Amino acid sequence: MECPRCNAPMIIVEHNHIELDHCLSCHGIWFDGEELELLFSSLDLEDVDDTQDIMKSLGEIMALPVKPVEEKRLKCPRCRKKMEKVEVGSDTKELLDRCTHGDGLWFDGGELHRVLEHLHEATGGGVGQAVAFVEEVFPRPGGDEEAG
Amino acid sequence: MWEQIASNRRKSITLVVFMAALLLCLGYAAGEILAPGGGGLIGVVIAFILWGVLSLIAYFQGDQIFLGISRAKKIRREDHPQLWNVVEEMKIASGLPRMPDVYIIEDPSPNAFATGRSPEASAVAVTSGLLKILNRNQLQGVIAHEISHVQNRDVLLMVMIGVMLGAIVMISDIVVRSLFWGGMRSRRSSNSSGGGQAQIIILVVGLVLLILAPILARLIYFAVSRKREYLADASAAQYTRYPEGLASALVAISRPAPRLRNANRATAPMFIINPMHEEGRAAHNLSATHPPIKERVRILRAMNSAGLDDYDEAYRQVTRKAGVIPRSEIAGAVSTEIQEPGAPDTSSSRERARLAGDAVLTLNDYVILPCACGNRLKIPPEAQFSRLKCPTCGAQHKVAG
Repeated sequence: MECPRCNAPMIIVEHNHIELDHCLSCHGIWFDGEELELLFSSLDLEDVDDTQDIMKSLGEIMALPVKPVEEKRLKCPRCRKKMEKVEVGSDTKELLDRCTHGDGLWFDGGELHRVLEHLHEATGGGVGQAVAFVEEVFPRPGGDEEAG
Repeated sequence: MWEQIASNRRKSITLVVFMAALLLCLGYAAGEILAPGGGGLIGVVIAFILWGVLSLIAYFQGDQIFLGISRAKKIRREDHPQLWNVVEEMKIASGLPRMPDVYIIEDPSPNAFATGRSPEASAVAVTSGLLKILNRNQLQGVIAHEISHVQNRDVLLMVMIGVMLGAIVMISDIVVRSLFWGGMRSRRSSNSSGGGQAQIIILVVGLVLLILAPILARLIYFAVSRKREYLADASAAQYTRYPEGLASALVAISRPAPRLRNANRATAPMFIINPMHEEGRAAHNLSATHPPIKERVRILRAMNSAGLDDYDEAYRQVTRKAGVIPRSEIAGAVSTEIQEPGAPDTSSSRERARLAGDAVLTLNDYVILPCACGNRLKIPPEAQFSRLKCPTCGAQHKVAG
């Protein structure tokens, strides 16, 4: 998949059987809809029909309020349609890009850790879980991430 | 045994002949409507040629075209060992003479289909979404269902009938369009130059045929398709000796899921569940290619043992209709006890998702690097770098090539 910001091919980082797409040039992160679904599904085996819980958590992400901004809208790396900016967090609002079809969420690389920090404090539920997972895979670095 | 095959073949041939007659009559009518007084024969010839060409393409290239449209990728054993093993087991259980080619389609919607003109040259394809949601026993049920389509020669029958349906729809479409876009005018002028009563009757009959033929052909197609689905379910229960596998797979598949992006109306009957319908194939109506899932599940769960006759009995019990499995099939079949599968499959949906996903990535030439911290880094073939740092633990990796 190509990075929606700089069109470079993204690598995939698998952590606890869940994949994130990561751009090595701009450090942005794509959280795919399918992977969000996996994240929200419990690790319990079979029988557990947790569809409703998954739908609730996914619904929280789709329910994030859209904020109209002047900024150029990025294209969804899956369906190539323009994504929308959504507001996350209670006090300090941060913006994420969300595919209008629910293909996934884009975390911009530039301010990733500042954004994550705010989100981590301010949100619970499905959104909080997603943010916590991204933070777990991409911990605040001692040094800079690099691509050789 | 040969008797059974002959009996099945007779029924199929009757259907094919009927559809062919319909097609040629339509060709005649189309010719008469577009060019009254002698056009009929040309119409028959054109219809025959169209049918022949489409059939030849479907027979020799149909499976490749179909797999191509679905963007299926052929796998080897090491790409997805579980899927491969299941197909191998069912190949043996069904007595198929040759191992089918195995394909994976990258699509989140769970679905599967079989293709191929004969048991000697066949293929089964499953979506990555299917591999993700089904455990081994369920997958086995679905594969058994698909392989029995091959073994029962349903694929060839459905493709051949499908081709004729396609030709019939095409011809009536062409005629209706040309009538609409000015054919009427030229017909009036030729009529005035001396048509006669017979001509008008032919035209009227032709117009009626034009409207009825596609509908009739569709109904035949759907009816045959539904019948073959029941037979495939019954055979799947027999091959796996575990009807619950397929039953629970059908339940899992019919839960709300994203729609199959690459599906279109023409290929819909080939899939295990109809991808064109949003929700649980609710109504059992005349225009459904597949019987409703709920009913299929109830029949499978009503089976006392795993033979074809047990399926037929369960079918009668659930639907309160006459049996659905051809007598000739039941006569030759052996009744088998239901066998609980050995070790339960304990993989989680996440693990299955990764197995399926990695198979797709490997087929797309990704390099997969395991990191000491447990992460796995997957690098696309287009990536241009030689070193890579794990974002979680910071370990450095060399990227080969």
